[in-house]
Amino acid sequence: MNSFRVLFVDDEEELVSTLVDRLEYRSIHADYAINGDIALEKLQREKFNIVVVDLKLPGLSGEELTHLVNKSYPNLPVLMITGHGSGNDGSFEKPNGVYELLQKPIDISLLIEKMEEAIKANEPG
Amino acid sequence: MSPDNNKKLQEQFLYQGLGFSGAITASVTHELNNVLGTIDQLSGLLEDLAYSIREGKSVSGDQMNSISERITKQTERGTTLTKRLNSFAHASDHEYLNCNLYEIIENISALTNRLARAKKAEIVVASPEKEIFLWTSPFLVMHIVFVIIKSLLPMVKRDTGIQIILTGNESESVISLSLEHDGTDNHLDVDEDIRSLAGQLPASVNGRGDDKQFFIDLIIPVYVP
Repeated sequence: MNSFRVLFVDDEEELVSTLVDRLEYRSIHADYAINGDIALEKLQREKFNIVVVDLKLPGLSGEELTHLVNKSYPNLPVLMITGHGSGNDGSFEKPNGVYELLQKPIDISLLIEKMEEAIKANEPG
Repeated sequence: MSPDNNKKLQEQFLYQGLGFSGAITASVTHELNNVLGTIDQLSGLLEDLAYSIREGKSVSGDQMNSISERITKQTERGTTLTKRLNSFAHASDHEYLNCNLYEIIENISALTNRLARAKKAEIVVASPEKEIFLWTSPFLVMHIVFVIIKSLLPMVKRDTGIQIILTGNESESVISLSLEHDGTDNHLDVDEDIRSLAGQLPASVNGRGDDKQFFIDLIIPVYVP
């Protein structure tokens, strides 16, 4: 797949900044925001191909942000990440408007795979 | 109160206490999960750099040092969290003992700050001029303060917080919580559940407020065993 641009939204700044660094090594352009308000500002200013949102955010929640992104950018897929629940016990359901829900700790290969899948699924035509 | 009603009340307090312990444990383990996840990604970044070196690309020593420092910082964060959780877990070792009030309140505030950050607020405990010791149940004090904080968070003005001041004299110790409220909640009063829980200590709770601020005082009479 051609390179794409991803916006991470998570208040764990060290975690997301490290993910950004790791994705840059893989020629994937990435940026991050530590809350929903900053994420919405960045989405207005720059073009992204996918957004990865943490469920628990300060202020605007991950679900609320997803809803706003779906409304304002209907062709922009959203992945959600969460530390809630354990493994695949299904203790937390994928919220509406989210392409896939991934559990922390994040496996970077799986993350890339799911991002590419989500972008492809949302391609027009 | 009839024996049956008293038994029901005791059971209710027991379940509330279990719920409180569960909430703290869930919050801390969630944060520890973030710490471990971050360390995992940082070590992955080191692997990425090692791969780059094998591919003949140059990687600076400063870059490696920076990642190492970041791992150390997360490890320290994790250690602090486990110490706090351990201290909390041991709070119920003895039903009543002679406690340093600041240490108890500082710990529960730190453990609860994650909830506050979700509301873009912060809990700040002022260190008292003189150490305050009192004979009390540390677990119950933390439980009551936790419940009060939870009740206050929905009304806190965004980007402010809850301030906690501790005072004490020969007859009582007072834990005063105050906040600037966002003006939308007109129900500025102390929940009956809080008063009931405080009564178990025993302690009394007073609330007062105006159009900008709200104060709750938890008053614990001095007990000499």
